[in-house]
Amino acid sequence: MTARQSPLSASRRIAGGLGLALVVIAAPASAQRAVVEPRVEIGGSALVMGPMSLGLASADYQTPRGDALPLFHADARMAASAGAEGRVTVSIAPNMALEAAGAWMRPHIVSRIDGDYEGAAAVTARLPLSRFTAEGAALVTIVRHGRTVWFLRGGAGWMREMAGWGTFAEDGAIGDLGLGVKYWWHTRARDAPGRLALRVDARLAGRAGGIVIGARTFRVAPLVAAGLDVAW
Amino acid sequence: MTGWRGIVVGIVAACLALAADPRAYLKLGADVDGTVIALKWADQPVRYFVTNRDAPNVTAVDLQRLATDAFATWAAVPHATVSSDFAGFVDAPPVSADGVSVIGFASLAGAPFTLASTSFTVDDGTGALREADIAVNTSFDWSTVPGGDAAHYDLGFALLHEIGHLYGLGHSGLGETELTAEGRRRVLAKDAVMFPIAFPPGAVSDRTLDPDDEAGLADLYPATGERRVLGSIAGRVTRDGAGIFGAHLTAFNPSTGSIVGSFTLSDDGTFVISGLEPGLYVVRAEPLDDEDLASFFDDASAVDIDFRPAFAPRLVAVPAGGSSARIDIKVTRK
Repeated sequence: MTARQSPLSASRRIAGGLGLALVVIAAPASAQRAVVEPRVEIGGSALVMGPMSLGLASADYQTPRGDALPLFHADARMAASAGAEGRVTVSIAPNMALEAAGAWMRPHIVSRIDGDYEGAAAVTARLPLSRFTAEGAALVTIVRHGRTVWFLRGGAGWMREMAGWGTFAEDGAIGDLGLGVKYWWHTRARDAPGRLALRVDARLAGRAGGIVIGARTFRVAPLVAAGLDVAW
Repeated sequence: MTGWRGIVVGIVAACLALAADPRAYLKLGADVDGTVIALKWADQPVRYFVTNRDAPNVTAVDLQRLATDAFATWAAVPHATVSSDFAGFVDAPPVSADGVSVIGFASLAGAPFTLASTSFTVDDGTGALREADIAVNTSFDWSTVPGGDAAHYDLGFALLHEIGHLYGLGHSGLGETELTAEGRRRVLAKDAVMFPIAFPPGAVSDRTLDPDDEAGLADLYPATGERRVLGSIAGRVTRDGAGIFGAHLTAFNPSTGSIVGSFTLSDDGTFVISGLEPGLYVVRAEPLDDEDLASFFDDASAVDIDFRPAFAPRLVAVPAGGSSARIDIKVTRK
């Protein structure tokens, strides 16, 4: 028996130790083949957000007794809209990642104006907006099943909505909570990013402030994001 | 050497009558060398006296106290800068062209339905106000009771309205009226102190200014830098492609509940609603059929009221310090 060890055998031993550590850290939740989460992912998704009520407002005159005489009503909502999201996700623990995301959407405020005191015909008035958001989010893996990873996502951030070709802008806060799934598959091309994933999120997206009609309260709408993540 | 000219406007008690209001809508105007310019004071504070004459139930001291309160209410308007200075009691009545601005009780025998009126002396060369006098009609019984008096008109409101004129504001169209059996108009509701017809005796809900009043003053006397804070809406009202003159416009901000009015002031039907807080607005055009046209325009025959009220087809975004994209409101005949 000899106490000598070649440099090569020492390297192998170190590599073997690292591999063991990674397997332990990324232990799969299921008994099936393990998928090791990458450290950094960059992705993009198409967004579709559902309609959202913006409130009812009444244009009132005042009677001699101080009561309201409604001249007309405006019932507004944010129509369903589409947009795009870009994001960077960084794993910070085996089942947790942090995400920075930016998005752009093009919603329309649609307001039904009716109940005119003097009989003006009701109209549906629209106004296109541009909405930009910047958000930080946390992702927690809840299930791994082969190449499929299910996760919960919660985020909060800042929003700017602009109308009138950008001449009028209002800022607000956003927050969302949702469930998502990623399906990973390997690429074979040399020098290409290691893996590619199809990602779909369903979120409940809330907002406070921004361009509103009626009271400035917190409002919620469903949001679906579907796109790709590329891992390095 | 410039000449002086007198102009009179007033608030009426549940009826119309009188009051030739020169080319005015939100602001009074004066014709200087063929150009209509807004009447306003070139120098402030506005120095005023109060006539040392009592009326039934109201002393000259009461009148002075309420006038001071009304001036203070106008001075507190956001985004505007106006000031006044009470110079003392005088024996002079509130009449034009005597060199001093006076507020006082007077008999307006020729205007039996006029609660109070404001007369101006204008510099013909510059259009600047030189003098303004407010006459409160002694034909009416007045109340100074904080909670109102069901038998008497509220003097505090009347002074607030007339001091709006004193600063150069014209009448507002933000109100709904109905004709009584006697052929006079009764106010159902309104949203501006500067509406030309008063609430009935006992009402005190009109002692505070409304957004329309404040927008008018801010437009006329903007505080330093306020031109970059407030915005405006520009557009056109047409019927069968032709402009409507004298259409009344309202801009409603659903977020704040404020309503601000204006008029189309040219034959092509163009209008500007100014002094608006930035935000989204619903814009509505209506015929000026709730008031006496002479309360607003020199030539009432030019005002077109043969159309149905209509809304702008889209919401309007008002930017800070600028104007909205131009909107077109198409109306149809009644």
